[in-house]
Amino acid sequence: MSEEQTTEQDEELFAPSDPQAAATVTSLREQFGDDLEQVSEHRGEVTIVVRPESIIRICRALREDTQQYDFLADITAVDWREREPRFDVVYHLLSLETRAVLRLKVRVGDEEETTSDPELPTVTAIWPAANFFEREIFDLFGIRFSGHPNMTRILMPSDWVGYPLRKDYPLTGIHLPDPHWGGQVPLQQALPMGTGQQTLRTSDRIQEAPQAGGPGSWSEKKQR
Amino acid sequence: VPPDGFGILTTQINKVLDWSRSNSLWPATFGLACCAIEMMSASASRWDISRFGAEVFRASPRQADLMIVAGRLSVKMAPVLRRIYDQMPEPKWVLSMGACASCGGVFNNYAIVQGVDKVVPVDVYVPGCPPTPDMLLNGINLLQEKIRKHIPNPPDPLQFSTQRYLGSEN
Repeated sequence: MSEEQTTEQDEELFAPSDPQAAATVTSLREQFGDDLEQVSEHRGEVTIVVRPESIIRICRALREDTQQYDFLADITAVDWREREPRFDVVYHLLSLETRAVLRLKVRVGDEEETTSDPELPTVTAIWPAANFFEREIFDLFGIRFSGHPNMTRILMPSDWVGYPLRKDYPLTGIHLPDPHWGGQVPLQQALPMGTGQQTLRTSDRIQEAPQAGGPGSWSEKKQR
Repeated sequence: VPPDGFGILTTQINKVLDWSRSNSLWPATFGLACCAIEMMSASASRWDISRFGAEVFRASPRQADLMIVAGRLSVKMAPVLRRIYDQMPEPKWVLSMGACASCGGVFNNYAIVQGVDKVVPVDVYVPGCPPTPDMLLNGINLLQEKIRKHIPNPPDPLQFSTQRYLGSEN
């Protein structure tokens, strides 16, 4: 993942060492010359950084044309926090025919990412397997995939606020006195980014504890 | 007449009831994580939880009176656990099995409830990561002792809370 170690070179000159990957890169360059931002290779793994506008066309070409990348192994995302396009969305492709693997990266989130979620077109029409991957990325990173059939949370509770895998999300939330278990509290308005749902609590939860043997305990003494 | 107002006959009946309850604890079939593997071992032949009358794992909380919280409780799962607890008829007891259920364990993060005693009243805490079946049996023995001594349940953390109902609606 660290981009410093890649053998990134001038993209017109650089060709991957693997002949299959080199053929892929050559054919992509012929079709989408300017849409490829960077081609790099690290430890024999080829990574192509593409523009967000062309991700659909490139994926469709990779799936349907000569390369036959018919297996979407994974989609994930990286939060680079201080970088200007803040997020990387990473697609891992595999060709079952030729055993070739390829990694695509898209950089998104260049506008004020604290108030609006970055958006990217979905690839579910090309690989149906992208459905759950994209929902997971939306759930944990807050990157929306436009055109997705069901863009809802998949891991966190449906009324959770915030995106836990962003770097500015508090890992444990703010410490609050007991009783507090981090349940889902309905919210009237959205919270600022970085405020976990677990940090919320309603003030009416603290009540007097029932006495031992009093009402509510199983050893409650009944009047005869 | 004892000072609590009960007659001598009622007191003796209560003792019999406590004794019988302590020797027929029926746990709810309910495992959350790896501690449940040890719980299953405890009910298998080598450790044989039935020696203490707790072998009848009930598939319905309506028929159970002991909830063994075996594993870490996620915030998403907490309303479910609370609902199962609410569905158990009284008298009922809760045994928190393992470090995660007792205090969050190594999962000190936003997704895990930091101790199930924030959701349900816990009678006995069993330490360990995971506890061995022996430790679980020891915890059940302690709970039996508690029942025989007629020690009441700890206060319900959510008894008068709207959280309880909000959670179970989700």
